[in-house]
Amino acid sequence: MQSIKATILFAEDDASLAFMVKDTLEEEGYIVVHCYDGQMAIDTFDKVKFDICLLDIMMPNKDGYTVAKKIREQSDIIPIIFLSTKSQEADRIKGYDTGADDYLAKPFSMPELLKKIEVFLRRTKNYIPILQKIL
Amino acid sequence: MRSTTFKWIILLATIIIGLLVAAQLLWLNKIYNYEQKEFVTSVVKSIKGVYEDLELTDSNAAHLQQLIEQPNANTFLFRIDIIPTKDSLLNNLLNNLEDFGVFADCKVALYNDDTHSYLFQEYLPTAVTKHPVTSSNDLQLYDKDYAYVNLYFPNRYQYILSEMSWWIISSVLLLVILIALGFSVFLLYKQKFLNEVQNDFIQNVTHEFQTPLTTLTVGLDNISKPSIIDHPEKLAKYTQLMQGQTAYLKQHIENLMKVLRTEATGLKLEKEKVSPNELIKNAVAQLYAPIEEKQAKIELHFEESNCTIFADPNNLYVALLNVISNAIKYSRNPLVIIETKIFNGSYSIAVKDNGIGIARKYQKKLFKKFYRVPKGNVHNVKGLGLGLYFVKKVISAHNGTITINSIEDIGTEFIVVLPKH
Repeated sequence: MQSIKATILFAEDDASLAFMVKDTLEEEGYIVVHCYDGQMAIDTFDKVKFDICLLDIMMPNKDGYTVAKKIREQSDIIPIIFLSTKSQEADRIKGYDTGADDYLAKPFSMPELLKKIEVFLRRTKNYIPILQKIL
Repeated sequence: MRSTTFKWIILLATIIIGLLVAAQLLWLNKIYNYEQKEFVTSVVKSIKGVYEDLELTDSNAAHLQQLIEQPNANTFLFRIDIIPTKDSLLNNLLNNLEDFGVFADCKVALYNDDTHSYLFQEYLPTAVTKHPVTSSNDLQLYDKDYAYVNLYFPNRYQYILSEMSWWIISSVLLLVILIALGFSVFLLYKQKFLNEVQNDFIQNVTHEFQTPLTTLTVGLDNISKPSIIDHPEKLAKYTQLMQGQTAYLKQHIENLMKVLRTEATGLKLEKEKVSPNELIKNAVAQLYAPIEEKQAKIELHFEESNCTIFADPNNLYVALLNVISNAIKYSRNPLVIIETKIFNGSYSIAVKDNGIGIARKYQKKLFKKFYRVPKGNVHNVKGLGLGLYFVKKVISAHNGTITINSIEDIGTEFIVVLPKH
């Protein structure tokens, strides 16, 4: 086990996929909080401090777009990445419109997802101290 | 643009078309009235001309109007003091009518107040007449104590309409264009609905297939890492998950293929004696996994004689499986009551749940291919929109019926009625 890199909010309704991805991320040293539906993701985001969010779009109770909007109401900085089978351009644009920073179409490659997470975390890590200095 | 927006556009277009048609009808009516008036004016002018030419009256020219009466729309009577000769009256009348642009056939009769009868009756066709000569019909006699000329226009109505022919043709043309427009909008709407349903289906299929595929991809990535050798328990878990996903994919593909095959070759029934009670028992047994998972309660009320019907066991089994599986899928704490009955030589199977129900407006679309009640991106229940479509096909092929009673948030009941033989 490596040292803890960051805390990840992971919303995905498919249990098998969620298990696989969570396991892989944990192996890479992240703390992963998995939510199996949109409502749970919204509730969990209120309680825990996260560094990055990975959201599915088609989920029970609340869809990923709604979750992203709710998260954006509370934080402009936290990176949001959609992981979805909805791969049409209109879906991706809607994703960005609701506040996502990136959009990975399923089936995605795990190494690519890991790289993306690293990129976003590097940026926010540099960004937050600068922001704090200015303020 | 979803079909709801489209519905509003259609409504608006219908209102506009309605107004257009109403306006056109109003105009036609106005023109008809105008042409009618015009006809009367022209005839009266012609009669005045005859008065002046033949000096038929002693009255002042200013009072000529009072000598003319019109007992009905087709008939004009004008009083005369001097009885002219037949030829001069007819010739002069014809000339005057032509001068004032009245090109309608007429029948002329001269009434003699001494004998209280017509001196003569003569049919005056115009040069361009298309109507048969109807001189054989006697003119109605109007009993008066003075002599008069009876002018009768048998084809007045047709004449006025022919004067309006361009207006009528253009109106009919407009109507035809509007109908064609309406029809094409309707087709467009239908196409639109089909497209939407198909698009939703593609999204659904993609979702249902890509998700297990993603699990497989990630799983393969994981087990291909050399370090996996040191974690045999993980390897076992991953393989187990991946086997599950493969089975899931296989089942989905099979379902899809079944529907596509029946689509291509038609549903072929292999009928034999089957007991619906047995089929239902087997279906419930096969659904143990979702029943277990949702803690569903299934109540079976079977008709007691356990009778058999003549049906295709395989297809009927899948159809019943779909209906029962839906009842479980679309209920939160499922209580499913399945009842079989015999009445009037038919066999009925009712499947009733306490689930989320189906709004009335979606009920009639339920059996369409690929149709799923729209729920946006919120996916509480997975599916491709093929289950009930297949059910309907199977039941129809058996000459049976399937009806639905549903109240939102209360539950749904599907009733399948099959002939016994």
